[in-house]
Amino acid sequence: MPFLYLIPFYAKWHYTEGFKDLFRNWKNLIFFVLHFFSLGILFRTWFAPFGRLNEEYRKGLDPEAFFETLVANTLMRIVGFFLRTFVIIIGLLILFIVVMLGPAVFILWTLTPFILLFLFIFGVDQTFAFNIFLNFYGL
Amino acid sequence: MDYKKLKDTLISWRPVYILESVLPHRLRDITKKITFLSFILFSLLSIARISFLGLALIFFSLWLVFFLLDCFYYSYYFKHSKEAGRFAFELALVVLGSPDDDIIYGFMFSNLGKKILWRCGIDRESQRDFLSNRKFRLSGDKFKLPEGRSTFRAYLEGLIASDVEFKNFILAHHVMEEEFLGAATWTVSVMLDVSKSKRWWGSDNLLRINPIGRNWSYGRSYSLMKYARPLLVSDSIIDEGYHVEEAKLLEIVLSRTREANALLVGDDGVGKMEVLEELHKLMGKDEVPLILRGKQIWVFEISVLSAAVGNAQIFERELIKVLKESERAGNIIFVIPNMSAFLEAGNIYGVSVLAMLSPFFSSSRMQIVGISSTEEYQRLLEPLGDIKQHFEKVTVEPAGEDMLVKILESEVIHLENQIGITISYPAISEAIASSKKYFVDRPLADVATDLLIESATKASKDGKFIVDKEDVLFVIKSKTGIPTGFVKEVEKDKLLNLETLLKARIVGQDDAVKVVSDAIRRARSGIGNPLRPAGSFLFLGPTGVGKTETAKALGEVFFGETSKMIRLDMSEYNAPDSLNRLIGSFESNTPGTLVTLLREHPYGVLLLDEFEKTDSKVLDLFMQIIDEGIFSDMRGKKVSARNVIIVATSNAAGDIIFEYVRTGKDLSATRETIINEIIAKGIFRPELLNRFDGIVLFHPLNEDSLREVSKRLLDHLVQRLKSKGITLKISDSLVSFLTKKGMDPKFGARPLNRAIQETVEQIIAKKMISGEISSGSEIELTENDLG
Repeated sequence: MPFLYLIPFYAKWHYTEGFKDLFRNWKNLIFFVLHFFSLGILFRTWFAPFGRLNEEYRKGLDPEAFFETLVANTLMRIVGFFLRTFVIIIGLLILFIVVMLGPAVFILWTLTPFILLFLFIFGVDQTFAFNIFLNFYGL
Repeated sequence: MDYKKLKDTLISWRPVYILESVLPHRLRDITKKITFLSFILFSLLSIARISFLGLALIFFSLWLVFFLLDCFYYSYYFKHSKEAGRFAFELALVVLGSPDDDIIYGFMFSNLGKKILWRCGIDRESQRDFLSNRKFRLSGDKFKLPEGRSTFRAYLEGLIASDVEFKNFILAHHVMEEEFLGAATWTVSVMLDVSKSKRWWGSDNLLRINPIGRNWSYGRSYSLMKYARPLLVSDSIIDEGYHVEEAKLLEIVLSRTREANALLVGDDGVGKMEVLEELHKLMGKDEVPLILRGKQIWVFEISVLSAAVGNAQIFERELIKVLKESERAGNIIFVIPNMSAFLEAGNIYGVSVLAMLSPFFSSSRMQIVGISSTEEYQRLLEPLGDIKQHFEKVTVEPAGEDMLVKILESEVIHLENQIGITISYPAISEAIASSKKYFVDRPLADVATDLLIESATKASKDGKFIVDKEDVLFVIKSKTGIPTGFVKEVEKDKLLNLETLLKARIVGQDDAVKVVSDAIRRARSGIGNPLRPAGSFLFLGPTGVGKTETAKALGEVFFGETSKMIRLDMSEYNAPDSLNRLIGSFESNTPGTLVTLLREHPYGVLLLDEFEKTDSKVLDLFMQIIDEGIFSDMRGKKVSARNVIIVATSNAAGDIIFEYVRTGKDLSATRETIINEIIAKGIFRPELLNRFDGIVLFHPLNEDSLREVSKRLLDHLVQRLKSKGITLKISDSLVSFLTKKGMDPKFGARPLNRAIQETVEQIIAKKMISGEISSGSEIELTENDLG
């Protein structure tokens, strides 16, 4: 069967090029998380007013106007700070997950052919009640 | 490189070739979907009944197999190989699947080969016919690949070079070698791009997703949103860089910390907006300096603002509001699509837009990009110090032909999706070639796209599945009247017997008939120089010998019966201001006669009567037109005369010719002497005469010729009378009488017309009014009647 002829080629690829591809895609995903959550920009502008909604201070000495502007601008900075903090936390969390998932996926990838085989045999066993596994464990 | 080496280069794709042979991609795709759906179904059923869990696991493991095979497939698909090139995967499928003793069969039978030939406009039936009827089989040892090219191109060039039968098959379908190669590269590029667009996990696709939070550090300009639109980038699946150089220059200018303003200057249709689109693409991929990241390009429409406001105050207030808000937002690249119109918009309110705009020139928070045509830049913007000082000019050059092909390829993909018809590659190349040839004044890309759209509509109406060259040529013919396309049987007969056809109209001028016939055949075959007029002739001879009639016949035969003849009496252009009257005057802002006529009728015959009587400057202008087929009007805009046949007539040599003929000399033998006499008399300069495709000497008409003309003029009268129900019988005596009466060697056939009017027409008119003849009558005039 030509399909069986393919197996050695596939096996070679799975444990060589396949790993390289996996590593490249993992790297892409990390960059994507950094890009999607704009972490660099958000860190740089963490304390900037939200949407530049700040007022300009009027010229001359007018304490009331000065404090009005100061309060409004501080409020906008606080809003901006909280929104950015929220996104930064979510972004960092997802980045952490992606980074951590990397090694796990590598292990999973290594085992995939065996897992696949196991699932298939187990499925057949379950469906046709061969009870291979029950017998194996002497149950 | 030989075939064996090519195979060795591609051998590393063998695993995926086997996969494709056993389980083609499409079949895998369908099976993967089915197994996944089955897995979901049985997983849900297993909640109710645990025995379904086994089936769910079987389908899951099967789905996993197909998933892993997909990973395997794409890994090979996008595998980089310097030696095998970009299209190694597709090429490997063809080469590894070809039998060594019949490479052409392997190519034509492959998925890619079928697609390429279809793109060339060669239908499946013809492909099958060729495969079953060919005599030669190209084997691996006879297959030679040229060196120094990409492997994919070398393979295709090798196919054509090694198998003459295959080459002739391609050529027989009016597909040139370059078109075949172009179609192949395009086909495989589209396949690659489609696969790339499906690869969502690739960095290109991932980084295209809009990020969140990036705009939070910037403000919003609500006024700008009222009067401007964000720059829209056409969603092209082929990501070819267009105007990359200009976009990089623009990027440098806009990255400055101060006075980051640019002015994009170029002729209409060169793609100034596309420079911004290219920059937008670079910004989308974050391939720009930090200062430009997160910026938005907004195109401001002054006409929308002008329409929305009623008076100077509101205009001024709104414009300043827009500019201030844009600056405050901090992430706006403010684009003014028509800079001169923008600056002039305030004139009706007595407001200086430039004065309002200038405070923002030095802003570090906003970049301004103005767009202008070259002509308006030179006329209106360059003299303005503020603009010159604060804007960096970026000149936009027209796209080269290669890039134009890429643009059209991209457009065509969209068009095909819209109208559901394939556009062949030769149709695209014909659209570009014809646009360059027949529509000189308009932007090339626009014209070529319009031609393809119209051709596709025509082909669709005809029930065709593919647009080919012939469809494009048909559209050109219907738009211009110029006969294009392949010469078919009827037209072939007509072209080969042109002399006979023309002699039926032109009497006694065999030399002229031959020259004109040759010119028509040259123009029709398309071998003439495309950078000159379709033809240019100087007709020399006495008056009334058929010079104008020949020009008319020439136009009708070449451009069709309804063709328009542009006629200029050059004796009216003999004053010093004649040149201005022809090409227009910048001072008085009046367009020129010649410019207007050529723009309105760019296809036909341009007849320049009494050419010798015009001013010397005008002669110089025509020297340029005849030489290059193009000239500039008063505003410096190009005017094309490349699709007209120029016929200049002159009586200047009439006396000389008449004298030579009177003394019994043969005109063709004394031709050189006559032309030398013309030059010696200072009528025309030799450099002007040398530029004409042909100088034709018209003979004075002898008695036989005049007799023939008399007959033809009487025939016309017979036709006119027939429409009134009266039959006029023409006798030999009547013809002889008229020939005698109208014979004047100095004026040729012209007095004959007058003779017919004064005698025959006069008598018949009297008889009609007196009631002697009426509808249904038959009349024959004798010499007695004619007095």
